[in-house]
Amino acid sequence: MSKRLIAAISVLTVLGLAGPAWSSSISLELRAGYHVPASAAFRDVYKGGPAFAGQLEVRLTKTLSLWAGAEYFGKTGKLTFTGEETKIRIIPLTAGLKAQLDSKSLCPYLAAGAGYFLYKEENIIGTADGSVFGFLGQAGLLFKATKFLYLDLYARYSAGRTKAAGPAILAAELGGFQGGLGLIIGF
Amino acid sequence: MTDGSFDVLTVNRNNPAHLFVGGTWAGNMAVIVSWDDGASFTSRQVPAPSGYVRAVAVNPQDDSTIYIGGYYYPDGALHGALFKTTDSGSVWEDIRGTIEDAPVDAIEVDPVNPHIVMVLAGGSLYKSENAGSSWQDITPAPGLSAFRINPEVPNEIYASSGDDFLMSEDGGWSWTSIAEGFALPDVAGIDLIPSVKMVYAWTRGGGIFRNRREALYAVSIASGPRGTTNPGPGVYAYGDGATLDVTALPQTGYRFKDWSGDLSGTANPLHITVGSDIGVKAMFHLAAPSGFTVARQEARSALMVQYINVLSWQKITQVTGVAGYRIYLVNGGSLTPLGQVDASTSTYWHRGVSKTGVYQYALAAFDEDGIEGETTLPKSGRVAVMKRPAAKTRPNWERSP
Repeated sequence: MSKRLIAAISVLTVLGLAGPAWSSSISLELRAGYHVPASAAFRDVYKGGPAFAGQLEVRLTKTLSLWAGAEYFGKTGKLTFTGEETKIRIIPLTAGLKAQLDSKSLCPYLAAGAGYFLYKEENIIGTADGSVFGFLGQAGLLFKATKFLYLDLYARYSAGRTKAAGPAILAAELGGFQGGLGLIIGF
Repeated sequence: MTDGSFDVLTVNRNNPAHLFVGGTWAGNMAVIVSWDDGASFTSRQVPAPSGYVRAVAVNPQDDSTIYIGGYYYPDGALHGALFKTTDSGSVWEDIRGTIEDAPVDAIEVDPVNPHIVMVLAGGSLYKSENAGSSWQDITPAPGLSAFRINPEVPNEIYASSGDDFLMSEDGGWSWTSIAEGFALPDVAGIDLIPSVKMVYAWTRGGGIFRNRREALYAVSIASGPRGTTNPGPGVYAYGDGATLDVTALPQTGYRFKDWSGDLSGTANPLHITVGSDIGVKAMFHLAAPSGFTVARQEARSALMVQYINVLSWQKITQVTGVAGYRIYLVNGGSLTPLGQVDASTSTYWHRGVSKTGVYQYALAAFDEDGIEGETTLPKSGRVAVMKRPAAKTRPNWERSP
């Protein structure tokens, strides 16, 4: 028996102990998506790229839950005109409410929340870092994979605008569109 | 040539390979002649026993005619000696004639009319117009110590007597003093540079004097590397008040920079009014690169921006030796160095400029010696790529109520 098969059985065993996510009061979601910056200037430099997130959700009622999570988007790009390397890292800390229909196998939902965007950009011009508040909205579909494991097909939009500071720091939109897939484990 | 003693040497001005040395050979006055620039010599003895040579002269148009002067002791007493040969020394003729019986100190032959011969003997000056057949005393003042015929103007003769210095412009018949208050005691010799009419006199213990017979001044023209001048580099004689224009002519790819020396400036041609000796030198440097332009660009990331003035120009390719280019920021007429790039580069980025700033740049090439060339400004002069928007102002005209 291969090590991979043993690992898979172990994970399924843990998930089985967790119980069905649908009716769980607490669930954990790991999400991966593709982030497309809303700002054209941002896209000129970095284009889009993968984003990753982790989210903890607490069920309040049958259709309403509270969630909080953190995301990560990091990318290397090139300055306009000079082509010199530039790097950016954005970490939104998010929290909000989620409303979902109660269904046996397919469950659409809507979520909205606030974000606290931590960011840092480094290149030959200098370093720009700081934080800014923003918001986000998300819609998705939950698919029942097993009685304790669900898939989350989602699309979200986030917004968080930095302010200009001095002649070299620009005001910029950090948010954007994101679509991806999440894995939800219920406890 | 080792035997004998030799006292004077004369060179035929018309044939410098012909040398005539006067001296004593085997106890007699003698002239030793070389027809091959000193490679070999032939001795020609003069029938003057126990004699000493003080002067030798030749007919410059026919140097088989030689004159030799000095003194000798034919009978135990001192006598003046003046001999002439017309066959290079085979036969000698005593031509002293009516000249005072005193040592002959100098002989000169008119280079234009060789029948005119002048002899200084016993402090007196004698002139023959028939190649020594007869003599006339033309002594301007007693006690002459030296004389010289101007080889280019033979009627012009200079002579020294006591402290005085004399000049004749009519072949010695009349004389005027040109000492101009200077005391020139005991002049030993006279020479001159005909082209600038400069007369030199050297004295026994009294120094060396010179006199410019006309207000001719030396104009020295020179050029630095990478060019020349018209008139070409050299030394020229000009009279007082004369004017001339000197044009600096740079090589291809170079420009005239300025004049250095006694005159300065950038005028080309340089107009000179001569009033003294003067020296000027034309300096050249690399021509400015062409096509110098400036454009504003921005290097932007998501959160930051940097404005860059991009300077570009055409590389100088028609000249070798260009080492690079220097870029300056022009601030109120003064140049502040910004940086330099090598010769293979034709752009320069002035980074971090203000978005609304107005900048003016200058560009110059420099050569392998570090000498900087002509400075150029961009075509647009002042660079104001992104100007601050003009403030809205109220119109001066208002509608009356």
